[in-house]
Amino acid sequence: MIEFVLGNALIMILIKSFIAVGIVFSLPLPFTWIERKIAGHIQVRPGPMRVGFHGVLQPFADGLKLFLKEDIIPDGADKFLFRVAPYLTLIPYIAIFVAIPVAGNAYLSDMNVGVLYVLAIGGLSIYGIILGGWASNSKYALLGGLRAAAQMISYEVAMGFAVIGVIMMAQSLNMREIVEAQGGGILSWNIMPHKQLIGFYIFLVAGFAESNRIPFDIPEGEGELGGGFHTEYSGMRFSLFAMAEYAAMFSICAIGTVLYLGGWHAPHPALDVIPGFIWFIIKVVCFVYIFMWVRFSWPRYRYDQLMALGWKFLIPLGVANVLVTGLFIMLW
Amino acid sequence: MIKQFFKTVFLVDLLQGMALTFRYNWTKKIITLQYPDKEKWVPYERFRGLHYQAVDEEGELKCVACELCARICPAGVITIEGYEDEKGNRRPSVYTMDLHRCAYCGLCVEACPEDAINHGAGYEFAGFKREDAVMTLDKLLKNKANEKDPEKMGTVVSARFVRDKDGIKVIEDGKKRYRWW
Repeated sequence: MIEFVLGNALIMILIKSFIAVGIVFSLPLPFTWIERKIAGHIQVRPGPMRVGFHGVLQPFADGLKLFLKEDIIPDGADKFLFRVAPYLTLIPYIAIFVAIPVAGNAYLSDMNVGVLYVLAIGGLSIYGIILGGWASNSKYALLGGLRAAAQMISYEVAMGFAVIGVIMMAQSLNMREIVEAQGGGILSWNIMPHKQLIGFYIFLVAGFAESNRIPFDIPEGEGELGGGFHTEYSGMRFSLFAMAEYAAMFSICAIGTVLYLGGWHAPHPALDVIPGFIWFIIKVVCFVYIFMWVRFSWPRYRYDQLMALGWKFLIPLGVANVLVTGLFIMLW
Repeated sequence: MIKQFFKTVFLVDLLQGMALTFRYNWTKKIITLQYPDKEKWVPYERFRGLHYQAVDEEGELKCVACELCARICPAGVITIEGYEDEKGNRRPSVYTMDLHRCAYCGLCVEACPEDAINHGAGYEFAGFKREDAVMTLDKLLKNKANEKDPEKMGTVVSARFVRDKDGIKVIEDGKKRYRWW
């Protein structure tokens, strides 16, 4: 039986997919708790303390609350699109994990166009946000959706340019080969200044924008739009949007780890005794911490500032980065 | 000018902010109270809390039912009916404060010639019924438990959150007490 299961590629892929989807779906639970704790401690207060030890069960309480809430669909809404939009936002981020190699032999699919696939699928999730904003038939939601669209288009380009540098260094679009090109200690990671530090900076800023988080969370804009694209959502559908935000953050962190932080490689070859997937998890957690740290340190960008930063600064910088990388590869 | 340019390019101000929040993140200092669960705030001496009726050394009411408090009260909170007791003193038979209308201005306390009506330190008097906020003479006497203790005013005291059939309470246990500022 076990030989049959291990030998049958289809069953193995199904099992791996179930594990991957399970992990992505359960991630918002620890993430919300950690985020609220970090928010609390940065603001010199304890954060959630009442449910369980230091509030560890708070996500379950929140989830239960959202689960039991009434699912309200506005009268004027486009019912079908309104129902479908949260899933359209969440599913692409789950699909991204197909291509991410967690360790040298732990991946769902070894695509030779992995980077392309990840960027393309990640860009799809914007449809869910636009449709959610449009189908709500509310001016706030519509404005949120429009802002999300403009922001995604601007920053997708910058992110693409940042990633081209990495592809040039590794001479491959395959995520596994990109990680293998960074093997042999912290100095060969793409984040180092003699490699792709500027690319990493562009990727990080674009990543904040892609995952709709502060300082680029103008699609939500709770101050001026009352919640943006999810103004009209409640209960389970709202929590799906919240989960999509966390899944987005996690996927950006995982992609960034693969492209810039050397994936499953240890900082020094001597530390290779610790399995690769643990290094991968450590790096992703540090990356996520940066996302949360930034969220509670900085204010939100204004809409025109955001557009100016994207088109006038990040994209020219990305083009320059590609040219300089090409020059150095040619001269080496 | 050039310095400012480099500061902007290398995100110096943003990184300074990040350093500050990072420091806060990893220090244990907390400036909020864990109010119902672990700690409780004892207000300052000037605080105008839940009223109580004072008694003299013999345990008799100080109030002489002169109705000055009822006269001065801008919201008409206080209703008094006086009578003459067996010793020939004037005392209130009815002294009711409808705290729904009370603004805690403190005029009744200032007007009282006998120092009978006082502000205590109590602030936890939310109730489930309207009658819970109507203070009769018995309740006003019971409220003396909230009397201000000058030593303890303006401190944080460790407390316990209790939920039983009488409702919810936050009981001070006095194990730990510290000055707020």
